[in-house]
Amino acid sequence: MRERYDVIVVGAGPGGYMAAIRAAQLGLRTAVVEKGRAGGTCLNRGCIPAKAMLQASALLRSIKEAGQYGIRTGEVSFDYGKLLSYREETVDRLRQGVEGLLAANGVAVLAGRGRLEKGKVIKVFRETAGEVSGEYEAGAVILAAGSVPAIPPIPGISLPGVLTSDGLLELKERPESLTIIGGGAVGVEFASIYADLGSRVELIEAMPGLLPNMDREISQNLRMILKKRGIGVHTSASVRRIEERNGRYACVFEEKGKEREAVSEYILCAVGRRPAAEGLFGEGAEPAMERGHVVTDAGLCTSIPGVYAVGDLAGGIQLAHLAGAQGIYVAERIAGEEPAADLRYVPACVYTEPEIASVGMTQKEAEENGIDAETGKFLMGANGRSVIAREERGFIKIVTEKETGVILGAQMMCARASDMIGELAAAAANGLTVRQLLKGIRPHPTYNEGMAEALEAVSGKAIHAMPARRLG
Amino acid sequence: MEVREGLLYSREHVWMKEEDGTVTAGITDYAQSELKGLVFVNLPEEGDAVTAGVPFADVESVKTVSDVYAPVTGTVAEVNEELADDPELINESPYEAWFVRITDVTDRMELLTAGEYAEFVEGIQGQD
Repeated sequence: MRERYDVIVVGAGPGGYMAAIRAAQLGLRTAVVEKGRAGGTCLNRGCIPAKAMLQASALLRSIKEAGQYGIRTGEVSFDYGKLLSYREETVDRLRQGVEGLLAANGVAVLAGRGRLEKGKVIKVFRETAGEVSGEYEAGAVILAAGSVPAIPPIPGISLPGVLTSDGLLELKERPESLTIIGGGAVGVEFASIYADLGSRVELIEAMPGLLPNMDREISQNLRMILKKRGIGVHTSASVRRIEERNGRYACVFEEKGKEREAVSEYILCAVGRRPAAEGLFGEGAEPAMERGHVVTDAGLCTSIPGVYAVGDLAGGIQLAHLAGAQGIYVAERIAGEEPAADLRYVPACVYTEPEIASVGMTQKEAEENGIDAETGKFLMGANGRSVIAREERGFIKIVTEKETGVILGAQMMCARASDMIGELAAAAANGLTVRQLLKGIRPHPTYNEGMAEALEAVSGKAIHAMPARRLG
Repeated sequence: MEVREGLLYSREHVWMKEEDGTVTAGITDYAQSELKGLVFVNLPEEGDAVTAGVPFADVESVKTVSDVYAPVTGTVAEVNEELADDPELINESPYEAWFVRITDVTDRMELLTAGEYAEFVEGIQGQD
């Protein structure tokens, strides 16, 4: 007899563990299958360790810049080994938190690799021996197997000094120099970390701008700031090959029609991630797939009734908070509840300094969708908190529908942007207008005041902005 | 303040020169000195259409943003990316710090010669 659960979740990353906890909270008998450690990529090999390193590297830069506040520091140095222990302690603490929550909610954790079989049966394999350690039956299955770094077919990509983010995080010594292929969120965050830690960093992006999915002003602003920090930025640059040279690695790329190269101790390949679907399906149990990801409908159901897919495995936007929101959404649907979240408004954040955050549409996207839109923009150079903290150039843009004032989206690059974007995600998801957002008073002095100013700027009435000047 | 001979000028303080059907444009020394330290410039993208008399870029000092008006109608063929990385170049050498090269030029604003522009600026300064 197979043991039966109401819900079996495959994968205990953010999508999986949140789905499991919510299902258990709603009274469903729930199990989660995990081959590695709870928390998935985000907690163990992604967002969390990267943010811990950014915490340390940004602090180091702040200390070096402390002279401007009259603080004398003398020679500043750091211990990379200790930095790594701090990072691992942080990861361990958060992971233990997740494990504790799973246990406390009565979620059974089945250790091993999960495979979906016909009839909503889940087989669990021990990772080492490959033998079946258990077979379970589920009322509903939530697939949340996540993703793995994508490896592009570049000659030399499998040389030992070419790493993915997983490999880079495992290095025990700080690389003296690093070439990063890919100027997306992962690429620019690692560029910031290692440049601040004193490594020589070159960043290579195939598209015309860094963070190509973001507003163009963000990408231009970021490029300017990264270059000022000594990072070599190459855009519209395509990597041709990688060669080993006396224990170092030359990344040969074409930029503006010319062949150039960056030679460094390591190369980070950060060109995106692909769904981790290998070995996930037994014979006859494979749902419809498209370009490697599991196809789902609006309710996140796969082509097999009762089998759902969330997070990176389901394609689309690969962000932990979306996976988590999808997991909760599916668990609520399975339990017969009406989910609260609107999954169309997904904030995206990049933890550079200044931080970058966006949600919904840019002005350009609104126009491309035939919407008559207008944008309010406020420069944070006139925001008190930003001046106090001597922040780099930053701004907040809020995109609205002209006729109604309904918030369509926002893009921001400034301190605490990642904390402030949630307000605009909530506003956009609820169809709130500029006037409704201006009903609440924002405290002074805060970065958040910049939000009120950007809202006022939609009608040209930001208080701390000089009237737009016409030259002449 | 320098007004460079051999260039054409708009009353919106944009300089331009035309060579083999390609217009190169930037902002004048007077404009940069009025704006003072520039911290950012928003440039159009290659392939964008620009219209004479309509803003095609903006320049930003610490607290104010100023639109830059296109002197001609046409298509952006090249953008000076160096300015985006280092907007101070516009303050340092405004006539070398070109913003864009424009091709397929179909229309232009009323433009001034160097002498006329110098007089025009003197007129503005006289009002101050």
